[in-house]
Amino acid sequence: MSTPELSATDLTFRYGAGPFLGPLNLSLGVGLHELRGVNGTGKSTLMKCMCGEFEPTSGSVRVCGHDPAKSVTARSMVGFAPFPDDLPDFLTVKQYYRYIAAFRQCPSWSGDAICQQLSLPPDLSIGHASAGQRRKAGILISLVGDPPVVLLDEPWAAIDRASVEVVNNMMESLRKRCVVLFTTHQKVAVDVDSIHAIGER
Amino acid sequence: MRKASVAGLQFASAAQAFAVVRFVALAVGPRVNRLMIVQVVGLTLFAGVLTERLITPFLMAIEESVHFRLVVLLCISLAFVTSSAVLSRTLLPPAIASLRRQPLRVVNPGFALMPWAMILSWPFAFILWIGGSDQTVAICTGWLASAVAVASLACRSRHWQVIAILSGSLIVVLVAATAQTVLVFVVAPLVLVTPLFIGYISRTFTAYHRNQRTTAARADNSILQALLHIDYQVLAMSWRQWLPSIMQPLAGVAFMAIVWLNENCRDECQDNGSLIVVSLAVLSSAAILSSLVTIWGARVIAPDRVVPTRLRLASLFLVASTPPALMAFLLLPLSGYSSSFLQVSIVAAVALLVSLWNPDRASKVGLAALCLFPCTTIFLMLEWWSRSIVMIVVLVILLIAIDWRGKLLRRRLQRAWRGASAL
Repeated sequence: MSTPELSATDLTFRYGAGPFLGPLNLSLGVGLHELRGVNGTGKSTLMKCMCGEFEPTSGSVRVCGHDPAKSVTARSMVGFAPFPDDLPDFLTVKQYYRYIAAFRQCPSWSGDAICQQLSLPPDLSIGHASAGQRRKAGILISLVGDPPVVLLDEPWAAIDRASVEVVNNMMESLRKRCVVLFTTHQKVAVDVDSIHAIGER
Repeated sequence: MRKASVAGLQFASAAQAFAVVRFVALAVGPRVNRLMIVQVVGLTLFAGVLTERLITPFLMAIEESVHFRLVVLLCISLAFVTSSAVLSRTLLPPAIASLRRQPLRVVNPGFALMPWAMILSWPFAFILWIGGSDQTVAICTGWLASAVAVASLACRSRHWQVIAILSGSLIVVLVAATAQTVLVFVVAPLVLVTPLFIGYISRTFTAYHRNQRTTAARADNSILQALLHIDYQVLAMSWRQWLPSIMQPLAGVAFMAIVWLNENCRDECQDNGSLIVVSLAVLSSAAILSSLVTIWGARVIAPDRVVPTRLRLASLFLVASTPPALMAFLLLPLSGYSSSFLQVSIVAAVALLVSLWNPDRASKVGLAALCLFPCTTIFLMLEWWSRSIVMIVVLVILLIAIDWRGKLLRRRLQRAWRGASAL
């Protein structure tokens, strides 16, 4: 497989007649990258464009040379933990993991170790989970299939101090082989390779 | 070797498709079932209670006037299009929408919803069929209407949505070859495209109301006036969320007006029709309250610490009463409906109680209120004097329940405030 790479060229996105994002230019290689910006500048929107959920109004996004909005290959290379999450309330963590594994055509369950580290019961019903547990489940789901590009929107929000350490360690291990892009408004305890600021409005 | 890899890929794709369909069934199956129960109960009551009083004159009117038939078909298509918000909430919860970012090779998750959308289309086909349309045309129209709705839900870009709708219309024009069906599918895309146009003017409209909102809490206003002012400003800003829900009762008013002009429905029939239309406004009241709950969150019961609970409940009640009161006002020239004031109060109270029941799940308010709608048609079986007594009793019970629920929510909120102060 080629070296993981994530880029955006002259990217703009508009919600109907509403807020406007961009134009943005970004090129990220393997490592840990932080996305900064005040509330409402479009950090989450940018991530949704990068994972293929939104199609940019103009410009392009490339994941290892593929457009995630159009290419199945590109979408299979991106794991995304949105905030707020969109996890299904009607499944348990393990069941949802298995569904995502089926969609991504990878081994059905290999989350025991991460669940144990994060103190997240695999048989916990997502509908009954607390905000912190949902956040942990979101991070777990974003890692299904070991994607080379991982997008984490507010990964430390609402999680306990012990799990913050676990998430930090997880990100440290991912930085060697993946492109990890995250947003946060908290003080970061991990060393980042680059910081990208989105302009204020 | 190559054959084996192709077979393996096909098996993987089949497994992926199976997983998508199963996931969609789990996500929307129970929601669609709940909606179907409401449809069955609603249509059974509608067909059972009103056959003599409403449907017979309706059929007579259809036989008399071709134009009326076109108007009815138009109303049905309009109702279908305007109910797209309920459809979207039912068929496209966030968990399904999130499938768009998964690498699905074989099936678009939006189109996996098609069987459930088809199931939901049966009342439209049924109504068209009762209305005298050919059975095959009725079923095809209902199904194609769902196909168009699902296509517009499933497509990512606006351009593809419009192309899907126009293609659907073209197919119907070529296959159905009846003026009514063609009309439905020419008008429906226009109605769907209208929001695109409205989007361009909405920015100016929203900006104007944002400026107005700052003047809401003037010193010379009473607390109730200030609450009403702010709520109406909030509703003006979030008009996209609740305005479509008014279309259905308005279509009902139009229907009643036409039946009245044709002299096919007078006196008791007109009273009963008015009762149904005003009851239908429960959806609009629920949509309005849902918009307010979405904005205010748990603080909807007390936007500020100085606001007394009962005063806030009164302001919410008045805001929720607006759509049914509007319907009752529009129907007043047609029928001297004696119980309208009581019924407007009951409709608003039902919507308010449902929205207070679980303010954290604002999106479910409409569906729950819809479940309560068939209950109000039971009033049709009663004489006017016993109906009035029953309505007063029901209203008192509802108001007591609202008061109890409001106080409970206020106590919870005060506990949270105390906790925050302690920190």
